[in-house]
Amino acid sequence: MPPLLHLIVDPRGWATPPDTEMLSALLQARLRDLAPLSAQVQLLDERWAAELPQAAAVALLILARPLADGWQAALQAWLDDQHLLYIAFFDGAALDDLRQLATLTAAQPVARAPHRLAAQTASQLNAALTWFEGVLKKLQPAFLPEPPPPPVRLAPTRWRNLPSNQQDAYAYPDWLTLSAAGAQGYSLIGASYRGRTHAHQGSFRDDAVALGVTPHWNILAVADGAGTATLARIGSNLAVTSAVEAIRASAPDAPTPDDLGRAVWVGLEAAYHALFNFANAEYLPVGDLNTTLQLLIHFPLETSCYVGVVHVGDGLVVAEAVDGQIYSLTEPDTDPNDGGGTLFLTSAPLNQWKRRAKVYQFDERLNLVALMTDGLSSDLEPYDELLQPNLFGALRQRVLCYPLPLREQALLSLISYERRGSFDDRTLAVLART
Amino acid sequence: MNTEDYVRRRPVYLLLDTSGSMRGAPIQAVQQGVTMIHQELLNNPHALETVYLSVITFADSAQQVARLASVEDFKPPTLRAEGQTALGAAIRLLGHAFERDLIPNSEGRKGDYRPLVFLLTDGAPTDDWRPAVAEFKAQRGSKIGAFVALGCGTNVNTETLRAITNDVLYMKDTSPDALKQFFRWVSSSIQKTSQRIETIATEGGLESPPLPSVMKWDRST
Repeated sequence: MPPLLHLIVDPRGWATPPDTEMLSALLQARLRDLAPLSAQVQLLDERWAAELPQAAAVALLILARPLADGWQAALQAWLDDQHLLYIAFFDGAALDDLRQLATLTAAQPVARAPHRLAAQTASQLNAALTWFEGVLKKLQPAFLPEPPPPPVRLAPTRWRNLPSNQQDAYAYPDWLTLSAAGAQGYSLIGASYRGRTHAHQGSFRDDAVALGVTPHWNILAVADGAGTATLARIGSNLAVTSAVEAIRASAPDAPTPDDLGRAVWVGLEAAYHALFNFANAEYLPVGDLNTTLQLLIHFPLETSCYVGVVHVGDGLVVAEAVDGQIYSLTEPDTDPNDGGGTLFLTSAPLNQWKRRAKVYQFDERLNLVALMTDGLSSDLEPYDELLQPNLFGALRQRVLCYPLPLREQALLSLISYERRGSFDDRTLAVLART
Repeated sequence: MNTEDYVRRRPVYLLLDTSGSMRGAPIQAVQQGVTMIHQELLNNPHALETVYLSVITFADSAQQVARLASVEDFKPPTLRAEGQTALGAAIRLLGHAFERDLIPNSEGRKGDYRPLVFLLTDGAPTDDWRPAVAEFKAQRGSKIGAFVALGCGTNVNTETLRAITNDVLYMKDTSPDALKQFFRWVSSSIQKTSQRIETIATEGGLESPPLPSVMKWDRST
């Protein structure tokens, strides 16, 4: 049972006598935040000590004049660890009474000397209640019950956005943007965005993107590390960077269209060997580095161009010519047996991928080329209806309208949309005629 | 980027035995199990966006008591146990539900993920189930992500279940607590499967947590 609050007010010496109902209301209002306590107020009379409540109680006595004798024994009998008394007084109270009251109440928990009130006014009565409230708070939780805890409500389902562990030996940033000024007045932009599954789990982005430029060629690569592979991010990053770097390093000074196919092979070989070399050096199964790869070399000429491309696994490479015609340079790479397995760079001998390399000749210039991982391409299905307005249109309106330094961020914001059921990392590399 | 508002759904069908032998505590446990799965999926952001749930019950006949609906729209049906065990009718109805509910792959667009099916029964079928199962397997057999059948209690015949699927679980115990563990396992399997992010690799297969000790795989080999 929570204790009762018992207020005793001396009715003597007031200009306007205190209203017990008003005092009760004031006390209740103060208690609202404290605990489910009940309070009662009575005016001081000669029998006050004998009429103290039997139930557990905390009493406040507000004295204005000397007490009539004979209270000491009754009070002493009443006081114990379930019955506490505090005293506030105006200047009319007798010092001897106060001294005796102080002695009697000195041993109770949260002992307080009688509290002097400045003048016998209603506002000082309020000050007495403030003081009393402070004492009651001190009594919590030993004597007064704690207020009930707030009700527990279920949080609505929310996506978390936890940063990945950047202290990891193989940490990659959660998003990445790149850009470069390319050959023949083209520009290259890349952005990679961590999907909601990785953000929710605080794991790494598994996609990767790399760009490279030679005096004659524009080189772009994107890769999607397999979610089932533990070090997929290393695989995807090794694949794109080693492919682009090897092509750049071996590019002839005066290339011919025939060099393009060989250069695609060079890139493919470099990516393939980079994965096996890393796995061997670290004593890892190469499957831990499983990744897809889309690799493209663009060789622009005055009025035409050549494009060398190879792709392994999901994703999409599309191009738009100056006349607005859209060409899909890769087919969706599903397993022919419909067994449900994704194809990865390491899941077949190098020669099998080499046979996939293609060189396209266009007798017009290309406006735009886009390489993307499947986190993005599967959101663009069905391709035919969505590519034109939603990819190329959006690129023009939201990315290519900016000068080169601003395009990276614009591209990142373009691919960082939220869409129901779309959880994967998204990566987009764009080649644009500026 | 403004992409068309279409989601690859991950359909989940629960086939529940509501025959007379389930009356009392078992059917209550099943009812609570369905509610628990629903609650847990509501609190999983991956599942909330992709999982679609349906419930088919079978007793004297089979009924799709909850049509395929998103986790948000799903209303756990009220289950009552009485009658026989029309397992054949349930399998036939499941085939019809697939026909009607599922969006197949089409040119340039991937359809729904392959459905996951969880079957719970405590008895032997009382109808002629063989033709229904044969027809179902011929039509849909290879296009299911996972079909897990749990036989529980002492009257169940796991031979029958193995004719339907290779993934048969057996549980001797039909106490509410054991059933609850089964539903918890189903719920985590759905959640884990819905979190896989590759689109191709997720065509089939169930990503399941370890089995609780009350159940064991019942495999013929």
